[in-house]
Amino acid sequence: MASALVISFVITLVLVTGFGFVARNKGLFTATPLNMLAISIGFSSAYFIVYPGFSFPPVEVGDYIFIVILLALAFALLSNHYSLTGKVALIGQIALVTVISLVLLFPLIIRQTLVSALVDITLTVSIWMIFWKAMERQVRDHQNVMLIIIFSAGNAVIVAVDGSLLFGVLLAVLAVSTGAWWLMQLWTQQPVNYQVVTGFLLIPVVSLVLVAHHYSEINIFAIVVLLLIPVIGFIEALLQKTHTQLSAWVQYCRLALLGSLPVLVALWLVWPDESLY
Amino acid sequence: MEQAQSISSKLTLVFLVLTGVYAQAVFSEEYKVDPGHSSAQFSAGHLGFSLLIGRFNKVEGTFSIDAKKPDTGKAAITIDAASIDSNHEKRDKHLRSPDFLNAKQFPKITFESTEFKGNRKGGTLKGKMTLKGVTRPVSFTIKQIGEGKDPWGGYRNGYRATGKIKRSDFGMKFSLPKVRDELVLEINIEGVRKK
Repeated sequence: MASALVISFVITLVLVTGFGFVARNKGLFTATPLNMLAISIGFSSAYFIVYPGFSFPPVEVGDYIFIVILLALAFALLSNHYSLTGKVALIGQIALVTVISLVLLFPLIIRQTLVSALVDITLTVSIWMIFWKAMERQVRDHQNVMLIIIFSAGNAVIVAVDGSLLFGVLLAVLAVSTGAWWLMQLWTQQPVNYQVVTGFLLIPVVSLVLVAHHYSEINIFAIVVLLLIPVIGFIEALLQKTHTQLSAWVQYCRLALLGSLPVLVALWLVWPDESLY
Repeated sequence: MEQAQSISSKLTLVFLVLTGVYAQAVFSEEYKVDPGHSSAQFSAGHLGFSLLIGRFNKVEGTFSIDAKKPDTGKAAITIDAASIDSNHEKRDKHLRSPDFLNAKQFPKITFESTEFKGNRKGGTLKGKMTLKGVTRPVSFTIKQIGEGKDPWGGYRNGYRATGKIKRSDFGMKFSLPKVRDELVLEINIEGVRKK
């Protein structure tokens, strides 16, 4: 498992550096897709090492995660290319989230009544969209990415401890590849459309959490606590207004500390009394 | 006279057919699995130190035995994957997850016999097991535990079936080879004869 994390980190780092040279002086329009591609390849290479599925038939729910990454990438590229904003972007987001939710939850909803299936899908899409919009509306750029990394890493720990080690590792891999990209981004300061990247990252992260929650019986209170992570962003925004003299690094550390609070609470909720194995 | 003989031979034929059908009905016994007295156990190695024993608590199905033609014996068993019980709630949750059984997506484990060699007391039962949506041939050694009338007027028959599977054959490849591939299965079935 550790090797998958290292591979994901190194591949993303190398690709971001390489693509950085390609996109140099070509601006935001070229740099954004290349950065997302680097994260996708970094995650996917580790996914194919860790994920033991693909024994068709049958198609297992974990098999779809790679397709979700491709969908997220395609949507982000479209958003970047056509500068999707306002109602068009919102409709696109809702459509994408609904399709992904339907596909991921299909094995469960076919055994439900039509009404309960509709309620489940509507609830899932609503929570997902609220989460997405909350992430978009708060502090921008680096803090936003940091929150996604904290959300992925926090969920990775909770999911691994409370349900599926496999999906926990996949979330950790996503956190690591995003982290590698972000570290390079801090260093090179390439111009990137952070709103598009935020949307792109949220799709695989929430998909993994959705699958882990529905198929691995993760403690619902722990998931709810972790869904509060965007609220930390709003608190950080308030603190930034009152403490304007602090350096960026101190602000990152403060955000990391604040972001780790929901993770610690969730961990306390799911921590096993004795060793599983 | 000839007419009387013809009627007599026809009656004899009807009698023989009826007794034949009755005999067939007597020799072929259908049993319904009593879920309260049946379970499916498995044992898996723990780090090479010991054997971890777990069980599935919900087992149902039917089996049949023909005293005259034992080779026609059949069994169809369904196990509720979510009923796994390894004496550790958190571990059971993990075993139900997509890492192992993926019980939400594949809630049933089924076994359908295809061939039986042996007699009423036991033998070898071959069939197809579907686990995690994957169907593979599996062979069980069958041994009768006992049979007889129960205190409620029914007739019961109990068997123990033992066999081995590799979890990787059924798509459960997670954490191999750290968590052992081979699983020893022991299915204890008590059936109530259908009236």
